[in-house]
Amino acid sequence: MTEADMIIGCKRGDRKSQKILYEKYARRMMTLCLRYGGDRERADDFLQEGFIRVFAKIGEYTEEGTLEGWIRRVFVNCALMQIRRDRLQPLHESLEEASNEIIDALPVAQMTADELLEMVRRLPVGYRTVFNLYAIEGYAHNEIADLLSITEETSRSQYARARQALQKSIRRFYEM
Amino acid sequence: MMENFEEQMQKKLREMEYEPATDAWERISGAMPSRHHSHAFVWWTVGGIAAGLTLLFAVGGEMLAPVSDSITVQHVSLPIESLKGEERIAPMSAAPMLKETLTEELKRPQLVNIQQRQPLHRVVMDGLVPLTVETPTLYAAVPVVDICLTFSRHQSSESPRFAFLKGWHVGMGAASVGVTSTDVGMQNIEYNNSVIYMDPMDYGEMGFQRIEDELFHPSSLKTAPVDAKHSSPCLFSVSFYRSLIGKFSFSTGVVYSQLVSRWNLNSSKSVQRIHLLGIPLSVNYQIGSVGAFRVYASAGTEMDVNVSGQVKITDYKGSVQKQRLRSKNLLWTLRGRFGVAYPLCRWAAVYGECGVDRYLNAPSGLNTFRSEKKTRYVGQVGVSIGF
Repeated sequence: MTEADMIIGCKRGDRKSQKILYEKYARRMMTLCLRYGGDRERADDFLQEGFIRVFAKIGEYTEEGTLEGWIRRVFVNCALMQIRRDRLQPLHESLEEASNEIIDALPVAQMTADELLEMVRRLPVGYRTVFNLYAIEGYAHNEIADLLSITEETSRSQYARARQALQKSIRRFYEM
Repeated sequence: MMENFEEQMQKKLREMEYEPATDAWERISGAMPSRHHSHAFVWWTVGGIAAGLTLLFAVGGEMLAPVSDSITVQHVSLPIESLKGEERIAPMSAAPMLKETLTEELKRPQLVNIQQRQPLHRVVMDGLVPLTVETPTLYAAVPVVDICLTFSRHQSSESPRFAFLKGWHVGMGAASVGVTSTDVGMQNIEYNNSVIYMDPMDYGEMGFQRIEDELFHPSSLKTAPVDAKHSSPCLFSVSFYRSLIGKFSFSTGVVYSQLVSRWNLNSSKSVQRIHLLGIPLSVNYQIGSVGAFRVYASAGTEMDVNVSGQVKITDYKGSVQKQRLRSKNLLWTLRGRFGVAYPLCRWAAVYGECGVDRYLNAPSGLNTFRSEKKTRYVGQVGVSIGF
């Protein structure tokens, strides 16, 4: 089945096509869910909600851009919605001086994806969300501010603190 | 250098793949409404409903068979003076076979034995009655169908009825808004064997004149209807669900039950209300899914305590007596259920369950549907709504 056939099938609500789409993207989306959810249980919920939303909204996919990019956006929006709904932690924390210290990329390159994922998962939810949106998804701070209903400055501050926290984790990792 | 950090993170984490839970697809597909209903789906649905109804009515049919009744025997003294002598015992013209057996001893009959089935009494006149007479009791039973609406608080889109959720979930349910279970006892009056069914409250003061008029009248010699109704229990429950290993979960909670029974015999009426508080404990298992349908089974037990109760008796004169009822014995129920749930949308699902409740009652002295029928076959349909 080609991707076009799969999309048409999903738009018709065909369960086989939906399963093919799921099998194709579930693993990558699971990583995304772990990055945003933090723990496995929450990630399972995000994954489920995300795919349900993908199948519900796939009629709106106009094939401008890749299907994976569209699915990723749906998942990110879904994860953000659940994070807001759960009111885990307010994202509009007070602005403090946050260092923009340069982090050496070499140690990062030498670490495995699993090790990095573990560090991201351990970040507080506010830092983690902004870090994921900025560093991994590639959103600009003004877009993040809109998505999270915070100011652009708060987004920058959260991101800087997320980097600091990651830097500490990386140092600790190499000290061990 | 800073750019490289983000690039490295992006490269490693965007491409990373992580295996979802093995049952993730089942959960997703089960939580999605099916848009396309094929003919096969329609036929399976109609067939399933028909099969379920057939099963329930077949089970109900079992109750239509004659029952050798185990009536509680209780010796009660009746005011013999109220019988007012032999001339009112029976009209000989209406009951010719009685005439043959009437002896001098019976000119003033001794009521020696009353077998009670509250509030109906079997009056046995000494000398006339071979105690071995069996009186078949017929039960017309309507299969019990409960209509349930279950609200639950849960974080994911799964309905707790699916019983394979993660974490704790709380649900509230109310049941038995639907059809009541009705038992209609038809008591045979076998005058030739001298067995008379009567209610002392109806006949006590008026003596046997009413028996002459009503029971011994040729048109009512064979049967005298006794209407006994045990309404389906009215339930309110708060439930807690917790996932266990794999496809297993367990549920517990608190259940309030009100059992209402009514007896009518001619002009006397009795209404009994029993209030129970129970703790259920069930283990649930997700069998699988057929399309969007989720199939599950559960088994467990429930322990009930009779917290209060009352019987209100209105006799033929209209006077009312109230009596408190309470049993200290624990009431145990074994329970099995087989269910199918179908998600309507992300936050609502309909479900149907059939199953059996087996009552393991210690002698409680309470006459309820639990004591009448040790086994209750249950059909239950409902809507589960998450919020």
